[in-house]
Amino acid sequence: MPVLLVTSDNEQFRVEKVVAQRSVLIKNMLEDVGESDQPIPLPNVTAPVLKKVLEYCDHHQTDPLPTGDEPSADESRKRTTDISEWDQKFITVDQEMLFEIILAANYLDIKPLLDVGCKTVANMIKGKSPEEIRKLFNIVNDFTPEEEAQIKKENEWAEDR
Amino acid sequence: MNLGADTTMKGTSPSEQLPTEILLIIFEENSPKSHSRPEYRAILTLASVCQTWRRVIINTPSFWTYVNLNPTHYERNFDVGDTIYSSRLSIQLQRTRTAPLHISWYLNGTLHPRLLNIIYTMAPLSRWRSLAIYVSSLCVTNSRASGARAINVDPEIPCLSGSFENLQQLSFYGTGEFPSWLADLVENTALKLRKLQVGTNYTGILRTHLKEASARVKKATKPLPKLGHSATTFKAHVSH
Repeated sequence: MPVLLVTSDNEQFRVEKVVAQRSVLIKNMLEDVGESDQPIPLPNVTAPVLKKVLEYCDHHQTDPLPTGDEPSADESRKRTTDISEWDQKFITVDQEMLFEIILAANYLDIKPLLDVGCKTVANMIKGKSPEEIRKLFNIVNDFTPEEEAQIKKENEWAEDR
Repeated sequence: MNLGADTTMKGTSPSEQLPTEILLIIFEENSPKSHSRPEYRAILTLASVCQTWRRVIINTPSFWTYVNLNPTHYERNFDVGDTIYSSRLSIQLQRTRTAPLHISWYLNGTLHPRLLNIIYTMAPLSRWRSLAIYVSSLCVTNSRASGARAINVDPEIPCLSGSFENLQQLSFYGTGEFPSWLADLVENTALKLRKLQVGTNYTGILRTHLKEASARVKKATKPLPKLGHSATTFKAHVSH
């Protein structure tokens, strides 16, 4: 049975239940409401972002659902940088969309998508200097000159052998 | 993929709208998972980007728990390194709050005069989750007068007291005698030990000084009975 989702900009998306249920938020809502034709409002997601998120859910509709258990230290080490080819292509979007997808995945509670987004950002950061990271993400350096001097001093030892 | 800064963006950048829990997932990917200096540098770099990132990183104890107790080459020059080393170590340990610690300790030459005090006040043995000790008689000294010099000296081995009640991993490599205080502490207090590794010089002590600890590790890492065994077999195993 299809489910009707309504975005913050009032666009409607009719999707298969199995696809919509990749979102734990929607899955719980459907379980609470039971069989119903009621549209599900998603006030924190715009249509272009939901379209993209649903593309992900559709592709991964047969994946096993995450158990919710916290991964062990070893597993989390393995997690680093591994993103499947399809996911990599999927997440190749402009920076604004990337952050919108991360926020939507967090709100809709789609952990694997949240992981893909966060890993992508982590990979973009890797090996860059603070200045390069600020430039990359348009972040303002809001340290006072005194704080900056203190940070520089603190970081010095790590440069040493 | 557009990785460049979007100059058309209005107001704050999208990355600045990320809530703390998402920033933490991103930072976790780049957080230290060993004592390697580059991994440590990576988290220091992230903590140098802006106030928000710094606050999040400094307030996450697990990012700081891989603690290297040995001074760097620069810090070995006690003329200038004395306070730098102790304040650097203290700052890191403060950030770990009460989290379990992973200690790496390269023992050569003399101990830093403030080190034991720092350990007892900020990193008591009961918080040590893993300990890797390397002992070497080769010592590199560094002073303004003579520059860097490698010399052979007996390493100063500290005698620590406390309880290894949370120690799960111990590795000991190098030369010289295995310290008896360490063997005693591990035998008597490291009841949660699951991994024990020693260099080839020390395999004998596993049967003498660390006999009980070795048995404990063997028991803790014994594979569980395979699924499919009959219920009676499983019961019998558990009751052992």
